[in-house]
Amino acid sequence: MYRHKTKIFVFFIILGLTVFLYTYINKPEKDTRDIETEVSLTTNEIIAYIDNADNDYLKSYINKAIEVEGTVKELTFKNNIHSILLSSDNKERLVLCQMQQGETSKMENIKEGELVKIKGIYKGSLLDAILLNCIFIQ
Amino acid sequence: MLKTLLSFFIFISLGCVVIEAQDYIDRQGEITFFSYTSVEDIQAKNNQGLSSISLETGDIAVRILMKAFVFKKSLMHEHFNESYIESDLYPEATFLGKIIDFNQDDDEQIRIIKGDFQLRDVSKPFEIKSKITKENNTYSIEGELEVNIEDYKIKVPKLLSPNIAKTIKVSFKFQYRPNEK
Repeated sequence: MYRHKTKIFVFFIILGLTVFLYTYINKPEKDTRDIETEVSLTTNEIIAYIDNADNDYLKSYINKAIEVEGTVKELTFKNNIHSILLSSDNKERLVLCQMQQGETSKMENIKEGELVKIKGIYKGSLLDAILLNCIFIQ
Repeated sequence: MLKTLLSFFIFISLGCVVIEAQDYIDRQGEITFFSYTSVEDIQAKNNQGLSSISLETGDIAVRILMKAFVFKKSLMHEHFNESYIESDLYPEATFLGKIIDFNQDDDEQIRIIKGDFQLRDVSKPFEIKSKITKENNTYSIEGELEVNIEDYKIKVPKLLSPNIAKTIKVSFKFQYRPNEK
């Protein structure tokens, strides 16, 4: 009887560990809605930080959620992914916001030239600042 | 008088060169990598690759932000950035090269792109067979290359080595438009 109970106990321990490991390994990326915003900036402020080589300030927000306010320059749909390109006073530099799945329906109401506020995960900058998993705030 | 005329002609010629040598750019190029093993297939996509080409010279430049790769599983994303690529230390991969015998007037051409691919501060020469298409005022370039992870000093722990291919297939597609300045 005792050995039988031990076997059942070990079985449940192994089952629990397997479920935990499977969930841990296959954990999807977090929804941006569930991540706390670290800082709120305008596109001009972001581009100014990049241009002035004051990139260390922005680097501290890499992989963190930031809010960006700016004017829509272009809406793109490439490789099944919607993005919004926000303009700044510097014509050569933009803020690229790759939208999170589920934001597609809201994209239909957005027009070029419109002022929008977007929250996304800041990934760094090349010529432009890059944000992924973006959602609309306003 | 002759000097003034000469200066005028030089100025006009330079102006033409500047207009003709206008760069084409893609801010949202697609770069995908695949690792196939019997244990696990891993794929990641980056849709924010930056690239520019010069129609005059065929010069091509690519910059890829390593943290902008998207994986299906967040643990893969974490391992890729923290253990393999160390993207805090090496945030970008770059390619600088030249399209051999590029003809800006051809609607479709298969060309070799010769250049150096740099990752983790290691630079290796590549010759990449690429398809180049022209449509209206845009150019598309697509192709693929195989990257040996040992060449770039990417260390994979023994426990995980069956999961990661020794050679990673990288494919790319860029769609260039005139760079607005």
